[in-house]
Order: sequence, then C-alpha cells, then structure tokens
Amino acid sequence: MPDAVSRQAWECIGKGKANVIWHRRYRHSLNAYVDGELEPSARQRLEAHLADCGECRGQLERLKKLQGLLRQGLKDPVAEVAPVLWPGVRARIEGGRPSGRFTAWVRQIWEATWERPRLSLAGATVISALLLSTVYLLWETPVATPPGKTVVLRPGQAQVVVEAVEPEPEFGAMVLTTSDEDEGLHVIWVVARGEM
Amino acid sequence: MKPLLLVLAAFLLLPVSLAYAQAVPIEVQVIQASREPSGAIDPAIGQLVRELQRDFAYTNYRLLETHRGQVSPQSPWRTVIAGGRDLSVALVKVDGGRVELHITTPRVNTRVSLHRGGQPILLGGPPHGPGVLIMAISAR
Repeated sequence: MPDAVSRQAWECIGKGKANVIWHRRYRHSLNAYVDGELEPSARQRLEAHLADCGECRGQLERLKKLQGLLRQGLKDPVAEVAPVLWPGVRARIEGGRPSGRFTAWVRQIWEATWERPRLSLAGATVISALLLSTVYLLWETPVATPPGKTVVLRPGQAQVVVEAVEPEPEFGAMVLTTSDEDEGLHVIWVVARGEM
Repeated sequence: MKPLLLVLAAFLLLPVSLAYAQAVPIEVQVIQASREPSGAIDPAIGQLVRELQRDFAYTNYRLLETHRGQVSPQSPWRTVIAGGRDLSVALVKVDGGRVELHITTPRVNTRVSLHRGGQPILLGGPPHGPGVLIMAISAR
C-alpha cells in the first residue's frame, strides 16, 4: 500500500508501484520547474504528469504563490534588510567580542581542539607526559645507601664528608684524613685483603 | 598558531632546562703516585701533591688524565680511566653549596658529600704501573 502522502497520487494517476515512484520524483522536481532549471525533456515529462495529477498541480500552485510573494516583498533584499538588521548584528559582534588576545587565543585553541578529538587527545597526552617528566625530574630520587661502614666526619662543616664506603668483598677500604680535618684531604684507600 | 607552538616549545624545553639547572660539573684528576725519583709536578695538581706529601710516602706524583663531565639527578656520569677502569658518579642530592655523590669504581662504592668548588675526595690504592692510582674527584 502507498503511504499517506502519495494516496492522492495513487487515486489520480492509477494504481501501481511504478507510478507512485515517478509521482514522487516529479514532486521533487517541482522547485526546479518553477525556477526554470529543468531540462526541456524533463520539463515535458513533468508537464504531462501535471496534466493527470491534481496533487502535483496543487503543489505547483503553492510554489508559484510563494515565489511571487518573495519577489514582491524583497525587490532589493540587501537594501531593505541591512538598515533593519545591521545595528543588531553589530551590537552582537561587539557584545561578543573577546576581551583580549589571550581570550581569543584560548577560544581559537578550544575550537580547533574541539573539532579534532584526535588532536586533543594527542595534545593532552604530550602535555601530560611532559608534566610528569618535569615532576619526575624535580623529585629527588633517593639512591640506595651502600650498606657498608658509615663514617661521618663533622657533617656540615668539613669540606668532604665520607658518608659510606662499601668495598668489594676481596678488598678493604680505609678512610684517611690529612692533619686538618676541615680543610685537609680525605682519602678512601682501597687495598686488596692480602695487602692490608 | 604561533602562541600554541611557543607554549608547546616551552613545555618541551622545560624538563631539559630543569635538568640542566640541576646539573653539577664533575672533574676527575687521575694521578699516578710512585716511589720513583721525584720529577716535575704538573701545576694542576701542585696544591694537592703538597698535601699528599705530608702524609704519604710516595715521592713522585704524575697527572695522567683529567676527565670532566656533568651529573644530574637522572643521569649519572660514567667514564673510563687509566687501566680501563670504569668510574661512575651519580648525583644523590644538591643541598645548598654541597653535593652528595655516589661514586662507583670496580673495587668500591662510596657516598660522599662535597663542597662545590671545595676539596676533592680522593680514591686511591689500585696498582698501576710502578705505583698506585689516586683519583681526585671534585664537584664544581
């Protein structure tokens, strides 16, 4: 069964699915017909259809009336519309103007990224990675203290403080200090066990 | 798009600049101490040798090599000194004018705290040729 829109066509141009399909095509070409944009052969076929189809004739009449109204009401559309609409348009532009370059820049980035979700995701990933690496660099990563003997010589005052020494198992280490503990030299002397 | 590029460039360079700001220059002087007849002493180690001569019995001190590098919290510095020995220096922390270093050589691991620009820590003892090696490690 045809739908409600084409029921009248069903009645006026005869039953049959092919007729209904052609009827729909003709109806869609009515606008082009009114605007004089149809090919001569298509125009002839449409006029033949219009002779038999009351629904399409009615639609054609409505389109012609609408076109006539538009032509009558807006002989010079720009000249008539501009004085009325322009002040409002200007007010909206000025009212919505960004307060500064920074705002415009933020808006530009926002619009650019909003329209490109992949770019947004990639940008967010890159910025997150950079922030994380920055935090990681700022964070003081503790180094495990060697579990060897701890020697502290006047911490905070001496030029050199040996805080820990861990020799390999077959070696020993001595921390030697020259006569002046604060300004003198500190030597970690490593020797093989047999030499000690 | 220029501001966006500038901000991205700043973000990219920020970690690099922070790492560079925390980098500590390290200098290692590799000295051979021996009981050979005393010779001319390199002026670069003159003061050091004078102090060593007070307490050590070596008569000859010869500057073999000088290595310079940088350490930062995330990047230790490694070098190979005389005799093919690996030397690694890692920055543990920077506290005002002091730096705490973790020094690793084939025979000893040590953690020392040095004044930047102050006295070096000396690691000595490994035999080398007719004498022994002494590494003077300082932070700048």
